[in-house]
Amino acid sequence: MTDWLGFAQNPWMLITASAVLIPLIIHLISKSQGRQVLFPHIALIQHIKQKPSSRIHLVERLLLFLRMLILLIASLLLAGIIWSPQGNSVQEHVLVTTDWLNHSSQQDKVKLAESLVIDASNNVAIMLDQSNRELDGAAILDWQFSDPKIKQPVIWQRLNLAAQSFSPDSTLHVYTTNRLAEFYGSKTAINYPIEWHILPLAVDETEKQPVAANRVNALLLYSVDFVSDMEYVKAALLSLHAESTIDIGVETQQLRMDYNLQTDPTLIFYLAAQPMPDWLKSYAESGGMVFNSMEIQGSPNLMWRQESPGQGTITSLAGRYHPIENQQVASPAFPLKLAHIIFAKHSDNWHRLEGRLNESQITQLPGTNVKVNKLKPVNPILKSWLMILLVILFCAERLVSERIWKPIRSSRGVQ
Amino acid sequence: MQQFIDPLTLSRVKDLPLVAKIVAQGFLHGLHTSMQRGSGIEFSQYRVYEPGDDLAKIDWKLFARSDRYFVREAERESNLNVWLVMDASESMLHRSDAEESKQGWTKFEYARHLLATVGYIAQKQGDGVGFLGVSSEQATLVPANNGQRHWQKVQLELARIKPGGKFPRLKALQNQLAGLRRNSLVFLVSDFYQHDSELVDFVSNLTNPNVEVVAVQLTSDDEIIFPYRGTIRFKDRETRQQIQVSATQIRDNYLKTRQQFQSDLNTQLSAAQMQHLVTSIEKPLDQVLYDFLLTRQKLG
Repeated sequence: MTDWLGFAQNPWMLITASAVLIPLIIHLISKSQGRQVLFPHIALIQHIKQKPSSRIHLVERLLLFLRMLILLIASLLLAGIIWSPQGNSVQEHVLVTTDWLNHSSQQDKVKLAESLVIDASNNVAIMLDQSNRELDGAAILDWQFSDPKIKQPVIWQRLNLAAQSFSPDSTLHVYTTNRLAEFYGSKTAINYPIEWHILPLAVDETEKQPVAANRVNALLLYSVDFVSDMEYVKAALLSLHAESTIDIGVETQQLRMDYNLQTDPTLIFYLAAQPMPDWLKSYAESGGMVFNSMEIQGSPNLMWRQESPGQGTITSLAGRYHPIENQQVASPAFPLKLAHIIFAKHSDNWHRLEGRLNESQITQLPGTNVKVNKLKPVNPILKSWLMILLVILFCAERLVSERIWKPIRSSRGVQ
Repeated sequence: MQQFIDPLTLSRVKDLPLVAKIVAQGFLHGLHTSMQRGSGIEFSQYRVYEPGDDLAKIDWKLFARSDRYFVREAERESNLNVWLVMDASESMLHRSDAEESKQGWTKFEYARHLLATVGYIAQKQGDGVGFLGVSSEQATLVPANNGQRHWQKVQLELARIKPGGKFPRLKALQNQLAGLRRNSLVFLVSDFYQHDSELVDFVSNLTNPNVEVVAVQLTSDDEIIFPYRGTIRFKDRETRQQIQVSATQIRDNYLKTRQQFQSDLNTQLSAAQMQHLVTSIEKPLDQVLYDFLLTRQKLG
């Protein structure tokens, strides 16, 4: 914002730009001296009334101004400076995660709300969730605890999505916690300077977590012709509930055309002949665990096939769980296999929630996005204009200089 | 068409008498006036005695050797004295600021050579030649007299005089002026820059029915056209005073002031019935003499 012409971005620019003082100093020295001419009788000159000196030196000042401008533009070109198309200010955007809002103190929220008023370009913070909704200061201060969606995309993708509408010279202020779940996944390059505001969370801070570590909610969606399958899977899950320490809650719902997901289950069994609906695919992509049945052609020994769309998993089970159609499913190993998949996922979720990252792990980003590197390459169009301007100024300087000095040189006989 | 000798060419000749001789001979070329002879100190020739000659003029020693009468003849001694008066103030060291003039003469050197030429001609004509070089630092006086040896003395003083200081006030020159008031032709060469009215007082003091004054004012081109531009610090050669001005801005006013100065000077000198010649040091020496004679011819 105060980086006028980017001088604050690079201290060397200031030193280079100070070269504009050179002609000024030379001008002041030469102005105070003047060229000395021995004259036989200055009484002829002394009686002449002179005009004020400020008017007398007007031509020389024009020359001085041109020379200073030349040096300034040359220093800008050499420094490779950027020019903000929106003027001298840089767009600042505040992005905040649900987890930060859940765990930050009221004091932190007040600070954020105040900074929105002072610094942010449009006085609102953008939520880094699937909604990308905007929060003003009041909304931040009145924030009520909200269930964090583990299944939502990691922060890198959310940042990229949110930043699509930002101007190229924007600076992002990201408010987040150091929870592993926020950053889980591969880092991607973000072409904006990011200022991180990381709220460190203690490892044992789990009392606020609504998703209990030992609770798995399973939703069995079935069509009418898959009732037997549903019963089979339900029995398997209940036996797991009985035999293991994990609390597994089983909910069954018959699939309808206009079905909407009402609850937030840990895993969904889709037991129907119809292809998976889009909402279910989205659920899987956002980190949900989905089981469905499918025919696996040509691989009779293949029992499972697991895909990972987005952050979730889709596990396709061969056959329709019917003992006659698929002996393998009917085998006693099926509940154990099921337990393995569920427990692995469950463990992974727990690890993401309780894992913590240190600051360097968060702030070190791949590609060109280095935290403190705000200096961007010079705009090529601007560079061309500056060069043209430099040439024009040089020509003007020559012309003005010749206009001033030619009569003097000719009077001295210099060609 | 009169062909004059470029002063820049003459400036390369470092021998003052030679320059004076070259210019004067070129100037007198074709006149062929025979020497006027009569009574005087400087011996000229012997002549056979003719009846009516003064017996006192017969050289008796020669008669003893040759047994014939010879009469001694001397060059005619003129009763006119030509006074060469030179302003030796510091301002006479000025030369034009133009590059081509930097190798040329200063006003002082120009005046020295001009006076030497005038003196040479006067001496050849048999007139008495006197020299007065004045400044506030020195005053060199060589009384007017005839003869070759005296002329050499004048030339020596002309070559030895150094410029410095200002033109002195009249009071300081009273002793030297007595000799100039007797049947004289005074050549005063100066730039006529005065801080009070010392130069005009000086020439006015010479005004006398027996004295004719020719005032030669030397100028340079840069004083006339004032070619300076931009901020200039002008320094007075005599007073060392400095003034910083924008030459471009003051040029017009300077030219007006200078014109007024010239006009006033001309009025003052004319009032004292003096011949006032204004010449630039870029002009040939012999042209100045030619202009001088031309003016005299018109006056006569």
